[in-house]
Amino acid sequence: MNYFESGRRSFHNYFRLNETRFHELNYLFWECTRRCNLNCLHCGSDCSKTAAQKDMPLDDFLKSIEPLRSYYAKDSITVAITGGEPLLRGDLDLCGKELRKRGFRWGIVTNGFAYDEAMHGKLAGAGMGSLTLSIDGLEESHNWLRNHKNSYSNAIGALQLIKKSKRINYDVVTCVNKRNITELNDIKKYFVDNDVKAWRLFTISPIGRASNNPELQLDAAQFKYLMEFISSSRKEKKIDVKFSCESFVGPYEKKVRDGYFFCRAGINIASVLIDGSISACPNIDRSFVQGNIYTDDLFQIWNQKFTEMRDRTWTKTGMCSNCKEYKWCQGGGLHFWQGNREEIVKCDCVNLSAR
Amino acid sequence: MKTTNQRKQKIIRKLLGTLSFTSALFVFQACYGMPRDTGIDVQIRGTVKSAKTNLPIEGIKVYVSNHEQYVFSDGSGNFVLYTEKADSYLVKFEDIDADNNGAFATKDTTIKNVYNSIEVALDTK
Repeated sequence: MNYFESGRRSFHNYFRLNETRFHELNYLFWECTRRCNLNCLHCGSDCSKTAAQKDMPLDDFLKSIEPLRSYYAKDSITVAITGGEPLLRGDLDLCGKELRKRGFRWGIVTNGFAYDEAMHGKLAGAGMGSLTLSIDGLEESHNWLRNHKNSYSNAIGALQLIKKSKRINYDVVTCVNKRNITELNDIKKYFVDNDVKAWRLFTISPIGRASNNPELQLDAAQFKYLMEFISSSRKEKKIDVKFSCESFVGPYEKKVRDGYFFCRAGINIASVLIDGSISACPNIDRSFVQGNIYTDDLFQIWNQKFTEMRDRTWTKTGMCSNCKEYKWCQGGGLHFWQGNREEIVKCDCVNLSAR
Repeated sequence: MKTTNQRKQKIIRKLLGTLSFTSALFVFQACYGMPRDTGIDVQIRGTVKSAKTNLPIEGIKVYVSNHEQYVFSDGSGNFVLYTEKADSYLVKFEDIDADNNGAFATKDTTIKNVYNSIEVALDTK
């Protein structure tokens, strides 16, 4: 690493420190339902069509976020409505409208299966301003991962509606796995030909339903290929393609994303989970829960707790304890840590140095 | 309400972000979430009533011509519609639920000032 790069990274570390000290809440997940209309092989939430947990009543969520209004400026917090599949909530447009009324922006993370023209108009009319849609490959590999023969055609139908919208800030995400990694160039061509503006690529974390399926995890050579693919595609500038902020990627930092790795879970990001639990991102281990909206004040919990997210020195353990990259990585994504906090589940940087 | 401390920290944020060439991180995105919404839109709100009875009408579809967004008026005839910002808005009011809540003729109205609530009276068919 040259002096210039080292200097940039050092400034980024100070930036991260300042963000941590400030811990302004900008992004709030709401796990509004655990119901889902698909049964995806890689689901991190282990959702099902008939979830045991009932959807959270809108009023409960609105009541929990009310204290935030006194401390944060209008439109400064975006609520990410997630699930399960948020489109299964019959009152989703009402949820959105009530959020806008209270000065929160909102968007959804969706599989697109139930996203038709009527849904599109209704949600846009209720002030939805952003959306992430999953398209996990060409038709066969998408349908395999999503476990439904019509999932691809429905998602493409959703994409055609969303990309025409001038108002909605959207991106398409692809979970890269052993089946679709050979299709990346074809997927990119489809997106470029169809004027898709932003494409984000993930790997699949060995958590939830994905933990028992080796076909979903990339090996070291495939992961390196993915980094090369993203890096070279970014140079082409045909589409805004990036690797998600899921992990530190050593030599590919800044080549595969706009900025350096920074896990903001608990620093700028909180979530209200289906049972009222207050946590950071919804995909992190439930042992990181900090409180519950039914017994605690969300703003107080945000301000006074979340200490293990804001001081991550505890992550310097196991394979991280002697790692040379630790000062840049600081334990990686929080979703790679489980209840015992003894060892990171996966390290992409190690993957990249494997021969 | 911003305190002096908050202002100071925001200045430091901008400075450090610029020095590390990561100013793009000011508008970040959670890794399992969607992009943040930083777009500009406007809210059009109002009430739909019957010209004949002056009573509110429920279930009228309200939308801006040539735009995707729509809402339905509620039981009090009220509606709140978010749409893209423009110089003026051709707002359409359409009864699409057959004879439920009565049968009303479609009406268009052009508005320029979205800060005031609008009131629209629909003629019966």
